Amino acid sequence: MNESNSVRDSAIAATALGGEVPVDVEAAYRRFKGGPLAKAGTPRWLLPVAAMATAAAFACAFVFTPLGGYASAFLTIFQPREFQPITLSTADMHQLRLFRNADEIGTQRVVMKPRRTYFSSVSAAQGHVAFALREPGVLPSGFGIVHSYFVFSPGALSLTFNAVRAQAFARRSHETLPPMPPSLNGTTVMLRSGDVFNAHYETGKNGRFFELIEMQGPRVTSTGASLQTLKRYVLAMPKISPALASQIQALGANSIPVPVNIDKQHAQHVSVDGVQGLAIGDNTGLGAGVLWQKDGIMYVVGGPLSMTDVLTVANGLR
Amino acid sequence: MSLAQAVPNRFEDLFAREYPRVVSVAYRITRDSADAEDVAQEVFAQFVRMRRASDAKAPAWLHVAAIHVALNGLRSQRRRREREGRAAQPGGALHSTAGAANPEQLIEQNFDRECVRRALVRLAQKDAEILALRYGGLSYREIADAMHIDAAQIGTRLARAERAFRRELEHERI
Repeated sequence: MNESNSVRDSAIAATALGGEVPVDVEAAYRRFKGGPLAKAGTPRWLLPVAAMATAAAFACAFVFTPLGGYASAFLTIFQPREFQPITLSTADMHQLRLFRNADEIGTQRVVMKPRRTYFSSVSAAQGHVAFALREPGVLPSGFGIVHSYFVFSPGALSLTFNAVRAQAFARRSHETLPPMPPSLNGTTVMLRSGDVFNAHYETGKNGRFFELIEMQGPRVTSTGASLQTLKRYVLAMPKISPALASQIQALGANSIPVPVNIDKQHAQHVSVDGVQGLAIGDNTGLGAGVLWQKDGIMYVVGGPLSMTDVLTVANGLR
Repeated sequence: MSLAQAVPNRFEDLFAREYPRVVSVAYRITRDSADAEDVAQEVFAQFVRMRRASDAKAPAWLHVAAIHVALNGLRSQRRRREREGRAAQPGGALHSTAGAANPEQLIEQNFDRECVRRALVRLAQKDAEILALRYGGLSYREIADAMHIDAAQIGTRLARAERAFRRELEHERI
């Protein structure tokens, strides 16, 4: 193409696409903070979504806690195939905050940080994921106008248990921790996450949305302690209620535990996508989600939708 | 006192800095300032649910999201009009536009806007993106960040997009 054509094309584009837009940023910010879009992220419908995210990242959440030590070894030895709810009260969850920081009982390290990349279409994202992506064949009424796609690259986190650190933490927090078994002291557990695909759908009008997550199951390795050692250590921790301990004891060999706050949510097994999944609903009825695993891939669909809509989307993946 | 000075918070700071640019980018597609502001509000609402203001890539994400939301809005409008059998009516209701001195001018401006919108919707997504980003006021470096391409390629791609846009516009005006 010659230069004059190029100049002409630029001039046409500048004329058609140019122009200034005056903006009152402070008024815009007031509108944003006061509008329904900014409020769309508030608690009630978020509860089941949070539960979904907790489940999808369950190994991540627990691997860096004493409870996580158990989960890590558990996943190392067994191939998870189903989701199993662990019901916790709000009080239980509050108590477990004691163990939120893994650095209190060992040394944690981000070995490989997942990288999030935005894509404009599923087909574009497919080239960056090591498994076949699926997308909804049916969307609830009003959805489909706004959609975003993200891929998270694989990541890895490690925790090396340290008895000295655990003792120091016990002194600071005035808690009595069980003595760390010699075989656990110095053990490194490593969580490796695979590719994660996240599709976000919105109505574009009233802030309604839902999320679809597809991910390779996490893989966890342990350099030393056995499953039984980790299990005994976890269940001897203070503030692990007998009810929680018994639920952990009763977990099936192929189950991934999903924490469910019984004061705000309810969970039940459902048939979804041809397999058994776990449905979690907000007690207000404002939000719902479902998790399942099929052909080695974990799926989560959740958002401020009815359970019927969530299951329709989940069963319509293609 | 500016918003960023009044509220020294990362998100507010990001909002104060990027909102006008997001509106500007969206405006290249909507050709309507109120619609562009709606798009920007939607984009920031998505942002707070998905990203952190401390993310170095936040501006790039906002700019591209503005284009996608704006284009998706146009496509849904077009589908709705087609369903309603009004596709042949350029513009539907007339929008008042700054500088339109009389009804004839207003009609002409609305017709032009519809031509531009339809031309953009028919362009390849990447061509529409680069045009909106460039004429929305972003630098080559910022466009490269937003589109995940080498800055050295921007000039060539922009020229290609301008050529495709001119052809689509000519097609619209026939």
